Amino acid sequence: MRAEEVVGLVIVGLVVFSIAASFVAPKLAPAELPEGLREIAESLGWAMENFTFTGAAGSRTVEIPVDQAANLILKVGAGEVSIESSGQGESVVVNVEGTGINIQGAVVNVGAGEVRVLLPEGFSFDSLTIDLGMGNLEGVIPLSGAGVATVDLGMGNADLALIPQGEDGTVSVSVQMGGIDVHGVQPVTQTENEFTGVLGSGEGFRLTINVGMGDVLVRVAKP
Amino acid sequence: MASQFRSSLYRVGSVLLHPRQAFEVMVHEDVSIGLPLLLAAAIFFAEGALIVSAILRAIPLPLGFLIALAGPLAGLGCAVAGVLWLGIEALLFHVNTVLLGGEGDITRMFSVVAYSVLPVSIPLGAFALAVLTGGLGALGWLALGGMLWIAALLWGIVLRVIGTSVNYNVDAGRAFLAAVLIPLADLLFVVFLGKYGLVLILAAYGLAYYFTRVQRSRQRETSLVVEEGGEHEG
Repeated sequence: MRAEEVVGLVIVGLVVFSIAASFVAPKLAPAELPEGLREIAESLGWAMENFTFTGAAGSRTVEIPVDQAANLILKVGAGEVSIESSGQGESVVVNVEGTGINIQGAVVNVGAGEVRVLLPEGFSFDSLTIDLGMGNLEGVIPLSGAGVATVDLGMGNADLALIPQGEDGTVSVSVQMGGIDVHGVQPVTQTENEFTGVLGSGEGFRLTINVGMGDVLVRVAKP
Repeated sequence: MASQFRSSLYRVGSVLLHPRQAFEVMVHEDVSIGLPLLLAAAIFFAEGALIVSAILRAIPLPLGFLIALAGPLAGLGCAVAGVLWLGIEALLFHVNTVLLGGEGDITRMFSVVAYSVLPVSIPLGAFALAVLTGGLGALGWLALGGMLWIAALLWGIVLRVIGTSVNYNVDAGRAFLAAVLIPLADLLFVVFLGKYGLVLILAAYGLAYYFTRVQRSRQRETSLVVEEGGEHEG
């Protein structure tokens, strides 16, 4: 066999091998997702379920009385969420622009869009739940002395300023893939993927943040 | 059948080992475009299918009917797009070389660009091994594939330049200009100026074509005058 024929055979063989590999490779996938990817996939799965085109679309502004808004639940499939202190009014104003909007009392469901929460002066949450599938979360969280705030973010960044009303509390952050940066508390446990810090005795308010993929920045103000 | 297969293998090997001779044979023997086109399409198919398979290799999904077809469908899309791209390249090189004074066949240029894709099969083999290995073991194959891919890219450029030079009977400098520098400049114009860049390129080609025709007709007139002058003297 001449050298040219050998080279030709090698080239043809490599092409056939590559095509065969592309058919075989998917059958070699692992039985289960690695743990880190599993949480991200679950969060994304949640985001996709909530990415709905049913429900209202467009923009809506709702005023929620402070006694109801003290236990606010925000569920957003994909989009941006911001919580700001407007310093005005006597109720919590929620501006939503997007699709799949469903607001019942203090429960705000948005398939996809932008959610802006404006807090009046002196307001603090007793219970705040934020479920954001994909997107960025930023703003302030004024939390009462025994308040509980839980943030679940599938993919995106969180930039929060916690304003506790009490002197004792705990901040827990868990990130599967990304960075954790927490200021203003005493670190108790600190690894690449998890952070727990306390203020005072650690009893009192509680902020828990779980992120699949993204960076978390939390600044805890002095009460 | 066997001798035809061996002769096809010989053609493929000789393009990679002795490109100038191989392309000269193609010019003189009017060889079919089918083989290089088939191989190039197969390489593009493998590239597209491997990318999708690499994702499916890492993420377990129920291998339903649709998921199983994802790789081959992606490969088919890549093959069609790749062959169309080769056609555009051949046309571009043909226009550039003709404007620079070359004379040649665009079909053979299509063969040349198709053959110039062949070196990519070498890193493709490494990528295929990376996909099959999976996990950390794939990293070594990926790194090797990356290095081989750069070498394959350069080898492909050399094949294009030699093929253009032989096909259009121009020197290597003009072939390099037509097959590498001018297309690169065209690409940069389009990337940075968008549709305005495309308009500028078309205008430039139009002007170049006009001036080339004017120049050639003047050259023909001059050579006619010289011939007639020579006849009168005779």
